[in-house]
Amino acid sequence: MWRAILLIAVLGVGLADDLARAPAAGAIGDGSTTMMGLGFDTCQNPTAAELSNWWPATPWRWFGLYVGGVEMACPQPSLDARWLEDVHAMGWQLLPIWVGPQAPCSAFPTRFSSDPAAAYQQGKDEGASARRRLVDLGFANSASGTSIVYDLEASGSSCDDANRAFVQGWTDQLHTPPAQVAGVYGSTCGSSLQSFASGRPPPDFIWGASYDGDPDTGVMPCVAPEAWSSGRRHKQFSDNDGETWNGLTLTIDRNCAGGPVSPGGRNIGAPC
Amino acid sequence: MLCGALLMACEPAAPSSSNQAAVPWLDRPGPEPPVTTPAAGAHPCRAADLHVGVGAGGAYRSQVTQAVDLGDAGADACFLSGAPRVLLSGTDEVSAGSFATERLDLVPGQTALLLIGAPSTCAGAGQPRIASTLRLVLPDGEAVSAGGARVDTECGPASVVRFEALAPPAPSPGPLSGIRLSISVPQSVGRGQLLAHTVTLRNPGRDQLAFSPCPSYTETLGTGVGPSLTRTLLLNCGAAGSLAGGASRAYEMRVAVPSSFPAGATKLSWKLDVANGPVVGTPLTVS
Repeated sequence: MWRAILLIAVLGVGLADDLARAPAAGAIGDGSTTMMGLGFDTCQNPTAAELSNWWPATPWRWFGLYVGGVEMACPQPSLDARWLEDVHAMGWQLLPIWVGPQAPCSAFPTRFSSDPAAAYQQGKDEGASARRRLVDLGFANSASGTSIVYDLEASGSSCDDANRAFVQGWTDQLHTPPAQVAGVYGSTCGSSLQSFASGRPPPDFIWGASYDGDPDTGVMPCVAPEAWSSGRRHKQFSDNDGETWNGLTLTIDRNCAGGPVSPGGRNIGAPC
Repeated sequence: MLCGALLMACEPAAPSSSNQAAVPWLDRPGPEPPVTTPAAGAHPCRAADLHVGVGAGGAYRSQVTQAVDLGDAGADACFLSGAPRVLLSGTDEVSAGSFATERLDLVPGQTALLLIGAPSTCAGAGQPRIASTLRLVLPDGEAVSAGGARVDTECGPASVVRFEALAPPAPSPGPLSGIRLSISVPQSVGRGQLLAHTVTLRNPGRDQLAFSPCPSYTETLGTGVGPSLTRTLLLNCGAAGSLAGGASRAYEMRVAVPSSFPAGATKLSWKLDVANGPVVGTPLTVS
C-alpha cells in the first residue's frame, strides 16, 4: 500500500511539474476579425490599470501589442497570459508585434543575412518563434488564425532582395497549419512595403507607417492602392503624441485599422 | 478524481451555477471609487537615490535604441526634473530635446525608462561607432556611469527617444481582486431603451469570498468622445452575499440608454470597485 502511495506521490509531482510548465490553455480566443477603427501603440505595452482607465474613456478600440523578438526596444514587464486575458476581457482587440532581426543593410546590431536563401530560412525561424510566443501567451488553439506583424524598420534599397526573402519566409512559416495571419509593419517607403506585394504568396496584410496625419488607410506613399486592398491594411499616421484621457497621459503612436486584429469575435468598429 | 487521489493543488471543480437564477439588479448608488493621485516626489532624485542599469538594445521608429533604467532605490519618492544629460564615450552628448524638461515623479521601487536612439540607416552602414559607457549627469550636477551599453552613432547623432515612468509597484491586492469577470451583452441597443445584460463573477480560488463590506461597481457606456453615461452602484449583496470557492454567479445589469445618446459604435465597461478590481467590457452599437 505504501508503495502505491509513493508511486502516486511521484506521479503527482511529475504531473504538477508538467502543469507548471504548460502554457496557458487558451486564455484568450483564436482567430482574427477585420477592424475598422482607431488604435494606438506604445513602446512599452500599457499596464492593465492604464488600459482599464482608457477603455471607457477613449475612442481607441485596439492596440499594438509587442510580444517579443530580439530587437524589441522596450521592456514588457506586464506581459504574460494573465495580463493578456485581463486586457482582452476589458474589450480591447490586439495586434501582436514581433521585432526580430533587421535588414542586413541597416545599422541594427542583429540583422538577418544578405543572402536571400539564408534570409528566407531566418524568416521562417522568426515565424516559428513568434508562433510559440503567441501560444505561450494563451492564444487558443495554437494561435490558429491569430494576426501578427513583423516589425521591419526602414533600410536602404540595397538589401531589398534579402528583405523580400526574409518576409517570404516569415509568411510561409506562419501559413503552415495551424496558420496565423501574417503581416508586416514598416515605413511605407523606407521599408519598401510595396516590394512584398509580389510575394508568392504576399503577406496577408500590411501595417504602414506614414506620419502624414491622415488616418485614411488608402493613402500610403509608395504603396499602390490595389496592393492589400479590401480590409488588409492598417496605417500608423502619427507618432509620439502625448494623449490625455480620463486624467491619464500616454505617449502613443496613432493608428487606423482597416484589417485584421485578434482575437476573433465581436467586432464593432467606427470610422477613424 | 485524479486530482483528489493525488492531493494536488488543483483548481476546485466549479459548483454549477446553471441552476441558479441571475442575481437581480439593484438600483442603489454606491460610494464613488477613490481617485488615486500619484505621489509627487518631495525632492530631486540624487545619484544615491537611483539605481541605474543598462537595458536591452532594440529597433524602434527606425532608430537603433538602447534602454537605460533609472530606478528609485531610495526610501521615499523623488523626481527627475527632466531627462538627465547623457554623455557618450568621449564628448558626444545625447540630445534630449523636449525630454530635457519633462518631469517624472518616482516612488520607491519605480523605474524610469530612458530610451536612447540613433539613426539606423545611412550609406555604407556597417562601420559601427559604438559608445559602451554612458555618463548620466543629473540636474544637480551629480553623475552616474553605466557600462555595457551599445549606442551606435555611425549613421548620425543619438537622441532621447522616450523618457517615461514605468508602472509603479502594484498595490497589495484585496481579497476580491482575484475575481474573474465575463459579460453577456446584446450587440446593439436602441436609444431610449434599456440595455439589459449580465455580468458573471467567478471565484477561481478555493476559499469562499465574502462581499463584506458590500462592494460597488462602476459601469460606463461611452468612449470619452461625446456624452457618456457612468453610474456607481452597489452589488446586490443582500441576494448574494458571498461567492463559494470555484463558484460563478451571474448578476443582472441594467443601463437606461438616454434617447439623446449618440447613435453609433460605443463601448461598455464594468469594473468591480475594489483594490485592483477586475474589469470587463465590450463594444456595442447604439441605434
